[in-house]
Amino acid sequence: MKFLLVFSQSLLDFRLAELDSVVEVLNLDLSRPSDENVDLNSACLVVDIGSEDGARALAGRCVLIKHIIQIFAQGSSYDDLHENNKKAVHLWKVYTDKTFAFNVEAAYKSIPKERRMNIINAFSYMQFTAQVNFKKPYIQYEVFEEHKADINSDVDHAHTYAPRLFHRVYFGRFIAFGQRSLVPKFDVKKRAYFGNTSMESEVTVLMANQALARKGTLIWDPFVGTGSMLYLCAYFGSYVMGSDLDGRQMRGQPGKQHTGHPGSRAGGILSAAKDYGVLDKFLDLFTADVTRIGWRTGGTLDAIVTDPPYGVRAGAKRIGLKQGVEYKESYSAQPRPPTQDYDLLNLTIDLVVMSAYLLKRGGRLVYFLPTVNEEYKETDVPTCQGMRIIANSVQDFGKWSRRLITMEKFEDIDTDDSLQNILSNIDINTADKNVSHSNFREKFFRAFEPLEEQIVNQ
Amino acid sequence: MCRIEIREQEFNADFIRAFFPKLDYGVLKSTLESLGDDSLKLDSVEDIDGQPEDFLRLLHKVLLEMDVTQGEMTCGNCQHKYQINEGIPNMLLGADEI
Ligand SMILES: C[S@@+](CC[C@H](N)C(=O)[O-])C[C@H]1O[C@@H](n2cnc3c(N)ncnc32)[C@H](O)[C@@H]1O
Repeated sequence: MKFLLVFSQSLLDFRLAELDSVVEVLNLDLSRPSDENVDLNSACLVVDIGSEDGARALAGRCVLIKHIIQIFAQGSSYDDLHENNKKAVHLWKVYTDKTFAFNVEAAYKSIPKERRMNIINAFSYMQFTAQVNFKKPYIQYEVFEEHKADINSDVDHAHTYAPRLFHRVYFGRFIAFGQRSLVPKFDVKKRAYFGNTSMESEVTVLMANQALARKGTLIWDPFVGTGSMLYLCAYFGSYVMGSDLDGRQMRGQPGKQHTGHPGSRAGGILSAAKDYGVLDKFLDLFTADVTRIGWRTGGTLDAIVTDPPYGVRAGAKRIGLKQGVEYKESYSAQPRPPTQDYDLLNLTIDLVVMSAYLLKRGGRLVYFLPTVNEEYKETDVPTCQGMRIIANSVQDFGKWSRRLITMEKFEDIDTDDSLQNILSNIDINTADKNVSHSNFREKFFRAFEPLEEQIVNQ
Repeated sequence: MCRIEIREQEFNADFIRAFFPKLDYGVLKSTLESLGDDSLKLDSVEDIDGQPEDFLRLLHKVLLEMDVTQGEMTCGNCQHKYQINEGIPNMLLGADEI
């Protein structure tokens, strides 16, 4: 059966990755055009799905899908559409004696009421015999106009205000809404507990989908902070665990009542989990340095989902002494051991290698990597033996970007091997100079200007 | 002083069976005993698939529902004590221990 997926115009580059992951997690029978044949600047994508239930299930997981329509006919013009629709009687004949409603919509455009009426009236040859029922129709017909960016315009084609031209029109029936409603439902600002690096809800849904979160799987966030990703993983049924170098992050301020004010910290992760009704999925939280995780048994986790600190708001740290500092007896009496800086380059390498050990075969690592647009090359994304990259979706902020990297562990590795042998595409001796995300914090604060110019300017 | 809370969970036998091979059952049993709970009676488990549902339920409770909210864990090797506060174990080592 042919279905039209109508997408939200946010996070375009994440769209196909989410679709593919959800197809995998729900084991759906779906085929879509290959990547080269998908125009992300259009809100529309036509796919084949084995059943209507499959389409509903898909809508039940995708945050980037606004709604799904079963297609009866399509055309490059309205005349073309009607001609095709008349040949598709077998698809809609069963509905013409049922109460109905019509919805006429266009991506990026609103269609004036008068034109909408004309469009609807043009379908009268279908000979509807039942009443119109706007509130609870048995069937909701959908007319959807696809408008594509005018390729002759110099406005960014992805931009909402880019001039658009009529491209195609689809006719069919409404199947289901996608999961846009999860965005307000898990809105960070409405949560019992959040901090200044809490991940926004739309992205956390995407991350949970990339992690194939589902009942009976075990997911860990090693930089859990205030727990944003875990709520969604748990919402989709996974058991979750979180850890952080900073225990206060996870605990919040227990005993104190959450005030509901922005920035409120009371309550901690478990109180927010309780509010969302997913507390039972939270197996454990613990304070730990990701570089010193004590787990001795690999192959245990289904996914590692995380947003590592890239150092803009708060840099990555690890337990240890700063260079040139000697250990003093008095350190052992301090509540928190001393820490040293931990560069993003090493952090991501450690994360990938650790995942190759801790994940089950078929398990996934999902994490954000910030990159400098001018210097970025695809090979900057670290890989290692046993791990392969399945998706690399970019969110562009001008001079820098953040990339959601999804990796899959496809085979076990020999962890006694040397680090350089385990790494497949990074030379640890030269990576510092060759990889765009090394020294990211420093590059960020000099606004990504080349180093020489900076020195001259000062 | 040690405090334990139970956080109820829907029983999932498949998860317990799949997780079991990764578990050092002997260590789980002695840890539980150190908390004053001797409900795990079997000394060793050869074949998890052959175990009755009652046993799986017991494992489910110990592994997924029991939460030590206050206490400490002592490393059998180096005697480092890891404190558990408000349900969150502190697994950090000191700068001298790494
Ligand atoms: C970007 S924040 C994560 C925010 C989280 N996704 C949320 O929604 O709140 C990164 C976290 O990493 C923690 N962190 C930094 N270095 C660490 C280390 N070596 N091991 C574990 N956690 C670390 C910080 O305490 C911080 O909470």
